[in-house]
This record gives sequence, structure tokens and C-alpha cells, in this order.
Amino acid sequence: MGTPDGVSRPGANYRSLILVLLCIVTNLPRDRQQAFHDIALRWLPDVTRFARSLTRDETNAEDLVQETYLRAWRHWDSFKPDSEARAWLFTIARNAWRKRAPRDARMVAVEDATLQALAEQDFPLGASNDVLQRMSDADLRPAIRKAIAELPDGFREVVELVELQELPYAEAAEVLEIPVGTVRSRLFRARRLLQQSLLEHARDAGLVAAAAEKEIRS
Amino acid sequence: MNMHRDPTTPEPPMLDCATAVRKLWDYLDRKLDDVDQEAVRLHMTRCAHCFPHAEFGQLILDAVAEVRRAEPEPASVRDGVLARLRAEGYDGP
Repeated sequence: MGTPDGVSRPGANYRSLILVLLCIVTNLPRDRQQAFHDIALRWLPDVTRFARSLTRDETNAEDLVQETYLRAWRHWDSFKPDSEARAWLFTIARNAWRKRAPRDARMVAVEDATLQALAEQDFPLGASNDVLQRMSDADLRPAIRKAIAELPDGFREVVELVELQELPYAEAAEVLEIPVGTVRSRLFRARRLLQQSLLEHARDAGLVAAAAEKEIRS
Repeated sequence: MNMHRDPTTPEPPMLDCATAVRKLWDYLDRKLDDVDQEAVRLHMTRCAHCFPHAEFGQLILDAVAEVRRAEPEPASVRDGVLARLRAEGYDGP
């Protein structure tokens, strides 16, 4: 490295190197924060929705989201850049919820046999075009939200991750710590339960007349 | 029926109702291979008993998609998260 007076000074190279290293070191926290912002905080809406699904309570959901991001920030160095940040955050949220929730409110995976029995109860085998048309013309969103909220935990969390968050089966399986095949089967059974709930809603709302209901359940 | 079918290719065998219904969700999710996808589609369009299954299945998926799109963004949550993070040294945007 040259100097303004054209005289080479041996110490100058070291000083430059130290300056560069200092710049790198002082910029590391900034890079870390930027990465956390770009990679983790971008999923805040999704994590919030997932937290709402876990807690079924707005205040608890907000607390859980904060705790999730706090844990994520503390362990950010362990996050692998090539992995899926959203699934990683969901896993943190789910683990945090399982630790903090009182025992009676904790998410307990329902046995698959129980889920299957629930799913197969009185499954509607069909619906007439007329009934389906009336249902598709109605605003089903409130009924669907209610039906999802009332699903057993083991079903609801799969619906939340796969249907609402659009996670691939494999990522949902990772978050829930269950086999991919179980994700798939729970999802399909959950959909049947949602159909059943929707039919009950349609009946209560007068969308399905008694005669049509008989037809649906035939 | 299928206007784009190669006339030299035989149609897939007609599925029985139980098999078609068992594959319904994968069919609606478009997760079957091409042959199975076409076989279920053919069954559903030709079977008066199973057609409502497909219609009702699609209705549920559409209704869930509506819920997915309508979900509001959190407003106050971000402030709370950032406050907790800043107390832990986060100073990012």
C-alpha cells in the first residue's frame, strides 16, 4: 500500500487490515439484525395466525408470538439459512405453547383411532346440486372459521398448517412431529368433519330443507 | 369428455366408486399422477352417485381458501414483538 508521500510504511498494511476487520466485526450485528428482519420477521402474520390457532385466544396469541420471536432471536445463530424459516418459527411457537400452557389446556394429540371415529360419524355421502348451489351461493366463511376452531386439536393444527398456511405435507409433519402419512390422513378426515359441520350449518340456516337433508344423508 | 385425448391411447379403466371416493381429496388437490387424475375425473363426471362428492369436496376447499384469503394482518402484534426484541438488543428495522 502506498502513502501520499510515496514512502512505503510497513505498519500501514497491518493498520488497514485491522481497520477492515473492525468494520467486519462492527457490521456483524447489523447483518444479523437485517437477516432476522428479512427472514424471520417477514413471517409475523403467519406466526400470529398459527399462534391464534394454538391458543384460541387473542391475548395468549400475542404473548406467544412475542415469546416465539424472542426465542428465535436468541437462537438465531442456530437457524440454518437453507432451511424453511416459517416451519422453524412454527416449531418454536408450538414448543413454547406446549411448555407454557396449563396441563388441561395443553395441545394433546388425539389418538388417531379417536380421530377416525369422529371423522366417520354420519359422514354425508352426497348432496344434491340444488343444495350445493345454495351453499356455494352463501357466505360460508363464518361457518368455516367456526368449524375449524371446533375441530379436535390433532385435526385443527393440520388444517391450520396445510390448508391455511399452505405448508407442504413434509414441513407440516416436521412441525407437528408426526409422519407425513399421518398429516395426510388427518387432513382428509378433518375435511370430512368440516363438511359435516357445514351441512349442520346449512340446515340451521335453512339452506337445506328436511327433504334435501334426507337426500344428503342417503 | 376429454377433448385433448390422443385417440390412439385407450381410456383408463373406469374406477369403482369406493376407489374413486378414496382418491377424491388427492384428486382435488391435484396430487395424483396423470393416469389416476384422469381416471378419477372420468369417474366423477360419469357417476351420478359420486359426482356430488367431488362437488361438495371442492366446495369445502373453496370455502377454506376464502377464509385463508380473508385473514386479517396483525396490527398491534408487530409493536409488541419489536419491543420485546429491542429489549434483547435487536435494533433492526
